[in-house]
Amino acid sequence: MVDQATLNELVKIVGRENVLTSKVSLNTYMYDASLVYGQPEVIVYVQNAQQISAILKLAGSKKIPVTPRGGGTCLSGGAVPQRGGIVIVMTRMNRILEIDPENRIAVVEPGVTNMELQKAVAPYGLVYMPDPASQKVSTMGGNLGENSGGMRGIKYGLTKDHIIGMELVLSNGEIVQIGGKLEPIAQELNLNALIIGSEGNLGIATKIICKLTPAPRANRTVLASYKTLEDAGTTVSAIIAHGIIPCTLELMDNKIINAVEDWLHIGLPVDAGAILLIEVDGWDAGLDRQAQQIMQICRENGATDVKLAQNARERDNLWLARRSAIGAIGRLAPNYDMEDATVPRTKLPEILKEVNRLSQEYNLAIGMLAHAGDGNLHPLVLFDERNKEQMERVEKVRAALFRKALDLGGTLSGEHGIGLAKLEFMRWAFNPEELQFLRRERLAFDPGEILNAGKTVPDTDTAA
Amino acid sequence: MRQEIIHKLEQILGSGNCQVDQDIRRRHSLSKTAMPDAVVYPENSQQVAAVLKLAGEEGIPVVPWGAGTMARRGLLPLAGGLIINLTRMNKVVEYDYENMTAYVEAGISLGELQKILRTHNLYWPVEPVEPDTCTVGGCIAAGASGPSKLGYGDVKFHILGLEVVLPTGEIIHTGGKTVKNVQDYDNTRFLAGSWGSLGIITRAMLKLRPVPEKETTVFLPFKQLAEAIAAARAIRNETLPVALELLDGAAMAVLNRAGWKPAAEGSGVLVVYNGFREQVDSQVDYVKKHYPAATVMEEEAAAAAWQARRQLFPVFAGESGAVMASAAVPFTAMEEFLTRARDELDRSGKEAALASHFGNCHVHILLGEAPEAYDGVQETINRLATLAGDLGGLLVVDNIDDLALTRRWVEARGKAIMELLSRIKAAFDPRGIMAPNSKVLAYVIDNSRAAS
Repeated sequence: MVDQATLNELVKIVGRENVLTSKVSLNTYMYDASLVYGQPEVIVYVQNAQQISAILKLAGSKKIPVTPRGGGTCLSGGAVPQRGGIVIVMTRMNRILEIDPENRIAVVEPGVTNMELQKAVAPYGLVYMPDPASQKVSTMGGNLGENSGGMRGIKYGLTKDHIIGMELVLSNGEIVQIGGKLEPIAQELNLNALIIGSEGNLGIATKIICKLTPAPRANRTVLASYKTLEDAGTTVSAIIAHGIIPCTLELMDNKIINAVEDWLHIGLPVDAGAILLIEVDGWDAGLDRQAQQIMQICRENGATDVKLAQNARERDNLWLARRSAIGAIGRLAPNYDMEDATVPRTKLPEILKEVNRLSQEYNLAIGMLAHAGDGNLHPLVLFDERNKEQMERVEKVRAALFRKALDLGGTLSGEHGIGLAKLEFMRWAFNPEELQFLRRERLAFDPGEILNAGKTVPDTDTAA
Repeated sequence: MRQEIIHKLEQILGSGNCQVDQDIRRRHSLSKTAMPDAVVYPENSQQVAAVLKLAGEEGIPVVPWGAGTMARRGLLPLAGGLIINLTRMNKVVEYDYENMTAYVEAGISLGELQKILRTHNLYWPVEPVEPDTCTVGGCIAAGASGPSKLGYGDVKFHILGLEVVLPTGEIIHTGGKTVKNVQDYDNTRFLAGSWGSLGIITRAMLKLRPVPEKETTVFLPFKQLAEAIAAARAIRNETLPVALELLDGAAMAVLNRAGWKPAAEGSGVLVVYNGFREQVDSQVDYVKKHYPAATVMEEEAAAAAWQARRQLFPVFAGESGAVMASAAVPFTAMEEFLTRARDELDRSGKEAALASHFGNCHVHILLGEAPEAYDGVQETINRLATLAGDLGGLLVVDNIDDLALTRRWVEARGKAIMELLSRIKAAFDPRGIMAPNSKVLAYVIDNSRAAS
């Protein structure tokens, strides 16, 4: 419980203006982009690692839960303070500390948004590769916590492939340096691996060292239309089987195509059952042949129409369509729940069919988006939160979808995390020994279990 | 080791799979004086689990072992204990070429694996020094890499999931089969490079790549080291090589002795491009245009060059042995480090060679002194370590038992780091039986057993 004495201590650490307790403030920090809620007891804005360290020492001594929060775009409840306690808002730690173009390194504070970093490094011909769709608002600290992916994941990897070091405040308030700017040579354990994607369970990063990549020199973008989702799914495997690794391979179904077209009017094929948006990039030489080969493969796998973007404007339109998909679908129903299962690529047609079946069985509209190259599905289940009976069906569809993904050799999450939203499904993905082990691991970092407690790893009876 | 324990091990494994023979024990040891008490050869994960349970109850240290080809780099000599040799767990459990994954047992040799993968035009882009004999589990535990880590990264980038036997005897699974996966903490990558200190990797889900349409090696000879450095720097900045190696004159002379006869004497740069034909050709053209002396090699000619490159250390070391140190410095400090290191080595009067994974900013320093006589080169090493440190990097010595340089580096991470590492170790290994001689944690845990 956060009592008056605790509030006084917090004010001493960060100043009165950075401690919020009004009803409106607390309500504002109840949620993230998922469907779970929880009211905090106090909101604290921090400016530096020392303040965080002092807050964690205080929280640890009083066993107060702490929830770190960036842009709040998390899709699994990672930023939701379901146990009350303190929300630490990181967004004022938003300086880009260093851009070192020739060493291809940037050092940022966690409150810097992904897009701010992209814009800052672009003039040097460099890119920070992970590009979550939320990049305009999602912060680098949040990206680190969730191991965010994005559309370029298939070729260029995820957050964990591009963050190589950090300054980390441990739950006991101690500050340590993890990884660094150099490719490791010393014989030491790779703690970066555990912390990236740990959903704020293992520490709070206060500086982040990012690897930058030379911007690809050229690209070609292909739009292929299909009668059915399955045909599009089959094409995905066929492209990869030809040794071509596109930088993006996105799939949208008819519902999404229409929602986007109604909004943007950019000439998407509204009659198509599905489209694939495929881009190859790299050295200019050879890209035309790759694009031709892709178009050929699309046709061989049932594409009814295949187009190559002829200029930058056509390409930008296609990507605008993809990036607007979620916003557009928001026009169709009061709520949506974006799922995030993965399956091995060849299982795409099967899971797409299953989603279709579930949509009919439970009488729920489901739009389908997928980072298809990674086998990463984002079905968007549409509903009205106020309709209790409908909500029950939504829950049933979610459970059935994850069950199927696991049965096909997939996972509960590709890039959005477990958080609270999928916590109970973890028992399907891991056996009790495995969950106990993960819990032991968590406790090694956070013995008092104050950091984003009750998330990611479900409680087990006999842990530690 | 008590006869009773040997008897229990034989019950778990069958009598032929628990060896106490002197020769076998010696082949699994890292010094002439410190040998394991027994070497066991489990045939499945359940046997590994049973052995670890027994070892835990009895407090016996256990060290997992593959082909032993890299062991000296990551392990200190250890007297007593059990070696768990995994080479009889060598099956491919599933080759899913359509999803470009292979689920394999840890003891499969890399040579055997690659042969199987080639049947569907795929490969696993990990190329340690002994690419045929070393085991997949060994590569993962050792965090192995080769020259192509510039293009593809080290081994942790090429694994998606693991089956691990914890020292408690529990069998757990990490990660999975898909590239995007954020369920559990990423123990898959965490265990890569953990050198047996936390658990035993018994199976691995490998992420495979298509064999590129074309691959070309370019060799650039230079009279002066400075010219080679400038070329390597330009090539890294202007093109996208998969591998970019720089060798000083002394290293080139060793490659010559190793059977590769390049055109000229002096320093050299070896570059690899692969991918689609046009991409490779346009980058090779760029290099040829700027460096007319470049030699373009494919297939056997390229293979010969890289085979010699892999032989650099063994040929340099010869019968009498050599000290190998590794440095990492920022890319922008590479020129200064290489130049001043070469001067320092010349002043030392010792036979010495420099070989660099230039694009990764790593430099290997080979010194013609037996590891046992490390004292004789310590002063030179210390000067090079200071140089690397001053340039924002670090230097460690790979094949000796002195962890002082590494320890200093880790301690600088913050005073809480050692305690954190101990707690992580305890979460995996509450009884502290796993590889107490593993360098990655030897400076953290009570290490009275490791004979250094």
